[in-house]
Amino acid sequence: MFALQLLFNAIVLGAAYALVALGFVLVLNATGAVNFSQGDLVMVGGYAGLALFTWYPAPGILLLPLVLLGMAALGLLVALTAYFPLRRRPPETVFISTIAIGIILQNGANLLFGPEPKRAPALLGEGEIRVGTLVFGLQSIAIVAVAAGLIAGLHILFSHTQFGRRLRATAQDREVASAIGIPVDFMVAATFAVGVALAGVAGLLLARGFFVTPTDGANYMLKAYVAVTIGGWGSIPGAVVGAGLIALFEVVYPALPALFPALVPALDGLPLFSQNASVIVLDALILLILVFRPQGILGAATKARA
Amino acid sequence: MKRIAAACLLLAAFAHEANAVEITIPVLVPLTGFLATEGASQRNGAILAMTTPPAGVSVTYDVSDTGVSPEVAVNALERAAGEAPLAIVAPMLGTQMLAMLPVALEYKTPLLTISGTAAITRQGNPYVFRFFPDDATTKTAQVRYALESKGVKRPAVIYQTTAYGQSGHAEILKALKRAGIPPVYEEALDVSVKDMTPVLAKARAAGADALLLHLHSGPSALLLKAAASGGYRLPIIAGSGLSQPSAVDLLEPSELADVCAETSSSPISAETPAMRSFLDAYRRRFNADPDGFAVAQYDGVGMALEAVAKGATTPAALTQALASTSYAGLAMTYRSDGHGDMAHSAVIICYDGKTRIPTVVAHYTNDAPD
Amino acid sequence: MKRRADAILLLAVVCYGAYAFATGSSYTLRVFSVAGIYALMAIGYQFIFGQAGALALSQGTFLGIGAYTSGILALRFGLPFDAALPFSVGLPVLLALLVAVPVLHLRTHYFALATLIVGQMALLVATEWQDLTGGANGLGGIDGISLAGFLIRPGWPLAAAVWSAVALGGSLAAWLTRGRAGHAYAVLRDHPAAAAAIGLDAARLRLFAFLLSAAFAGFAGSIYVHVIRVISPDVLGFPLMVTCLTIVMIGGRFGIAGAIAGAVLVIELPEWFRPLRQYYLLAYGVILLAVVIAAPGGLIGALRLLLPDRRDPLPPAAIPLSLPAIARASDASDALLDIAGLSRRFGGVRALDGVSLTVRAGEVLGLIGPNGSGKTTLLDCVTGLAAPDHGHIRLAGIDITGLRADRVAHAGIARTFQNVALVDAMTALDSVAIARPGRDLATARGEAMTLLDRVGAADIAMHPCGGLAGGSRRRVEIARALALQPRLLLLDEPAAGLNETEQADLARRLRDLSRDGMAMLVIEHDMAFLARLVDRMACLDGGRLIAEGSPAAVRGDARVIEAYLGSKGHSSRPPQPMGAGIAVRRPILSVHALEVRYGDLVALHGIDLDIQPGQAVALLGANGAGKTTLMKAIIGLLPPAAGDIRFDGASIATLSPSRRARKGIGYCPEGRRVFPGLSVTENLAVACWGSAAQRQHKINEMFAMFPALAARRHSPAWQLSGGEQQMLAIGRSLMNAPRLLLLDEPSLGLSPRLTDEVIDRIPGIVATGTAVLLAEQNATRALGVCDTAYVLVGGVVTAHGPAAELATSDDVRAAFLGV
Repeated sequence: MFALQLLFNAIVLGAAYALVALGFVLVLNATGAVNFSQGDLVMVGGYAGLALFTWYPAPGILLLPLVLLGMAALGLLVALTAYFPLRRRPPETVFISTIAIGIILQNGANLLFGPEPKRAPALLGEGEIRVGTLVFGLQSIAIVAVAAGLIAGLHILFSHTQFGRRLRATAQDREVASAIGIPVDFMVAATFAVGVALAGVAGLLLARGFFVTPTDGANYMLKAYVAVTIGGWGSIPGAVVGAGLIALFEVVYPALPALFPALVPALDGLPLFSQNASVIVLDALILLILVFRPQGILGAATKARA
Repeated sequence: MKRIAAACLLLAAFAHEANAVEITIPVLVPLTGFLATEGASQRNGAILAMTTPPAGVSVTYDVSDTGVSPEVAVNALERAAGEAPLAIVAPMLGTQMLAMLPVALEYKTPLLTISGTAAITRQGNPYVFRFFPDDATTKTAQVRYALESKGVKRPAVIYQTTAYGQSGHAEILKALKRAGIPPVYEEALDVSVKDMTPVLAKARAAGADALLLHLHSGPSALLLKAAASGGYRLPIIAGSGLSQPSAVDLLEPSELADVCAETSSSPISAETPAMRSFLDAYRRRFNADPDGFAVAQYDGVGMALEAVAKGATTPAALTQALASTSYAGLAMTYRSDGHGDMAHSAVIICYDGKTRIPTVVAHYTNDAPD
Repeated sequence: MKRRADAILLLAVVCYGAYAFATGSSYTLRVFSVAGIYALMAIGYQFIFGQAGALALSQGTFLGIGAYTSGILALRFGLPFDAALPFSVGLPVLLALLVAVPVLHLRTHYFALATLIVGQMALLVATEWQDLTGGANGLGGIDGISLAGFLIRPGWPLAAAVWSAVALGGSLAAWLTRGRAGHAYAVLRDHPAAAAAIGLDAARLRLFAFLLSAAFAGFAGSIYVHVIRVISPDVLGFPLMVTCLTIVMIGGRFGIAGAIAGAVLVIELPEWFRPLRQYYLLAYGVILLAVVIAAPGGLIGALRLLLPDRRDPLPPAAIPLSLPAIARASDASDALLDIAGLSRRFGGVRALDGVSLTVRAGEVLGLIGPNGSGKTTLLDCVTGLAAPDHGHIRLAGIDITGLRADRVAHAGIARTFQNVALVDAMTALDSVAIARPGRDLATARGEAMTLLDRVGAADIAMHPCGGLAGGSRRRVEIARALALQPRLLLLDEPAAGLNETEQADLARRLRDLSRDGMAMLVIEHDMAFLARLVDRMACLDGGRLIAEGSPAAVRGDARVIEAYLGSKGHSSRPPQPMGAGIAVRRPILSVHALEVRYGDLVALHGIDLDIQPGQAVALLGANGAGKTTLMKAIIGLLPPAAGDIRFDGASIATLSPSRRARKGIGYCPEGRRVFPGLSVTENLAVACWGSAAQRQHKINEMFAMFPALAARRHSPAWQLSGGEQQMLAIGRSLMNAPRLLLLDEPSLGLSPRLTDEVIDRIPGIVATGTAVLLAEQNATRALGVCDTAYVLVGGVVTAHGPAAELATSDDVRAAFLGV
């Protein structure tokens, strides 16, 4: 029972992280550039929901499409300022420009909303569903549902629409895509819009149960970067897998002594499953993956040419 | 004749003006970074005190951000101290305070701070004045309340990996050791931890009958939420992080049932008429609720201003006054113990589960000699 | 070379420093001291991030470790600043060594993440190991800087001490990176393959840079902890690393002047913005963004544009350098280079298939073969840039198979590259001097002068390579190869991009070298050039050696002719002269006086070309003649330097490629380039800009035209064979019903049978009204399906006319195989 609760919690967090990581990897694929403001954009999504609700207290579910659209517009702005002017420069330049964007976003949020943690409105209202000792908060269910929906939507976009197929083509070979009629600059801008919209939605979803503060960005950014590296640099399913793994490490790993009480005496006081230890173990795992299998778990050679 | 009268009146007015002492107290607090909330409380409390000075005193102030790193704080201090102010309101971040101490020594300017880190008054620096009870006082209060009033026998200790958390944790352990009751479970949490289920489960599995928390405001609220929804009916005695209005506002009143916290004072409980008018004035000016940090800083600046009104108009005189006199502030009476610790009592506040306004249920005064 | 921009920046810093000292304000001096600490860290960071070009996110960690070491030693053991230096500098270097071994070879983002993770772990250790580090609260009460027992007071003495350290560190860094070392890193960054080919050990260079950066960071950290006198974990946090990165991006990745000025600016800026109160960090972010966008090379880059370096106009005196003379005649029968049974596969393609070849001492061997036949792969295997799957390579009897590239260079084999691998910013002289190992700079330069003279490039010795014409660049590269004093010189298309006179001159000089005993293997397409130069010739096709012998014999060999010009084909349909009687209407494509450049290299000279609607036109020429360049210019992937391109009467020269494609130009690129992750159906679908119904109709049409594709309609394109991918690429280019189809070398890498299948489609395509421009090496087959043809040699049209005429004329043969 408890294991199921943990699993559910991990799925909830993993779903939110997956959105962030997906947004990150889409931009990475399309441009080869690392968007280091992705984490701060998650934070902005949370505040966007809060701001919209303060301005007009609409039901939470209406906020979702509004935040989606607003963040998409912000994504275009980020592309225009931090990416397009630097297209022909070495990739580290975009690293720095997006770091600068992150600084602007973080301090802007601090000035506009203050530094205290705040809560965004709930999507489906408060309340929870109880099954025995298991608790499924409505917001948690909303997170999983929205994330699943968006991921499914992305999948449909990419495999069943011309626009989505062309986005993929642009990411795989921009020069040839251009030569067969695809407006590649527009595609790249659209990819930024989608990537940032995903981050914003994740932020809106997380900001209810886990609050939002201006300094949240760094944590989400690191998680996205790690998820994409573990899952496979450039792989879309890999980003989801990587995000899930991180959530597992965050939620399930530290709870193992509670799940398996026999572990406790065996450990003999060694803090192998503390919250800090889970970070160290995850870090060690990342280093091992980088050294022995740098292409990540799912980063198979999908680009092999005959 | 009228003109002479008018001239005399003018002269009298100027003479009166000339009697008003004008002093400067720069305010150096973290306004960005992870302690920005607490820094804002410091700033607000200081400003409220400085804008309602005693008669004959007029204060100019300059607010500067110290961020999170020690060197930025030291730079800010050098800049402020170079203008030869009377005193300086200093950040509550321990590492920044430690870095600032040598500079204060050099400029011989008193620092008015509310940092809880024990070490800052143990460096033999006569210019540091701490208006917040140190961690030993507050944690002793927290532990004593838990053990004596709540009858806790198997406490679990959950603390933050930050400076605030680690020094609080050390003091909790010392207090528990003095009482001969070891914790059944301890865990340090990073501020970014979101899911509190594992730590709660492990505490319960260890057989804890209460949770002693020492977390920042956001994580405190997260843990309380998780405890409530996970059905953990354990009494929780939290640290001052929970007493901040920003933390309480994140919670539903029902999630605060059987929850207590230690703090230096609880302005929102408005125990005395003076506290009541402070609460109203603070709300009017800042459109927010004050916490114990704001009160402590308000009192600290208030003590300095009262000393100025009594004639301590130079840094040296002020230092002497702060070190040797006592001051009846809003939260408590402040008096130096010889090392710069001015505050020696803490309170325990408890929530009834129906409102967000706690009641003060206990006062603890630290009379232990040094 | 006097660097004026650097001097200006340093002067600005000195002025500011003088101002700081003059004010005597301890605040100003303190901020200035802190800026000095960051300057030291940034100078160190320039080694790994600038010189070695690796995005390391570890600089803050190393500074923190240096700080912690010095702080803990001071508090626990009373070690003063100077006594603790060996440890506070040594420990970060040791950690760098440990970290470097597993991760330094990783590519950019992996390396960045690995260093980031190591930093996170260090932060965690510092926070949790409270007994040692004081935990999150850190440790306070650390003494100030003391040197030889004297405590340095805060204020101007401290600032003077810190900036003396900066001057020291800066001088050291400047000395380490000036001259040869700096040049070595430049070559390593811009042309890693060439760096190995001139004997530079990339791994060692990178490691050295990494360790240096750690040492500087540790030094800066130990100063930091004694200035701030407190140690806490935020010195290991990521924000510090971001500050370091910011300083180097703003100040410039190279040159200590930039690092120092950048540090002063980045540290002072928030202080100057203090009056903005809580808005100052916001302003900081905006300024950072603005600087990054406006100034790509940072401050120093922008300044250098305004104040270009003064060039030292006088070349040094030449110091003679002998090239090893190999004994000739009697032991000419000895094989110097012996290649036996060499094979290499790339995925499903056999790049080399059992090639056996020898180069005798003192002889010049020419290696020819159509595009994709494996010539460059052969060179790569011999020089160690690629490892063969089977076979052996012996140099003077010693097995060098699989030897690392830099070791091969030391063993006596030097090479040049198809795309000249020179660093634009380096002078020709230094480019050659860098390949002289173990000499001091003056001697190396003198010897380089001799070599440049040898190749006829002495007059441009002091010019930066970026400004040189194509021919000169080739000569410089050859001189650099000679600088290794090799026994064997491998040249990859040395005549490409040279005009007649230059070619003749180069051939003469190479002949002279050969007469002096240098053995050479020359890959070339230009037969005229080779004829003057080589003793023997060999021909590769499809990875196999198909002919070997005297030049005349090889050029006349039927198999060689077939490899280049193609066979008549085995299709049942005899070639039809298409549209011979079409009246000349307005051309669907009209190219007029088109000129295209790659930098200074002129790839197309004044091309005039017309294609009538519904006509099939062949574009013939050897590799490097400019066929693909022309195709790319028509579709818009390359901008025209002069001239016009008109499609259906309207000029398209300023339109983007995607606009041109949607106007009705289909493009099938060289090398197929299908979208690997998309399925066959998806590859087709993305190229159609009609309605869904039209799209489905077109897809069905394509599947009817290429049944092999229909069978694999859901497979991802990367799984398809070469021939299937070619079909897919053609199909994709037809999806939008183009009025003009550009087909670039569809037979590349295909077997003769598949080539037939592909080329045979063209009449069918033309029959639907689509004009076709077919660029092909396989001239015979191309002429069989086209109406007219253009012959391209060296970027110029040398002949054009009806296909039937050209098929029998000598122009085509001459274009490929020389007169």
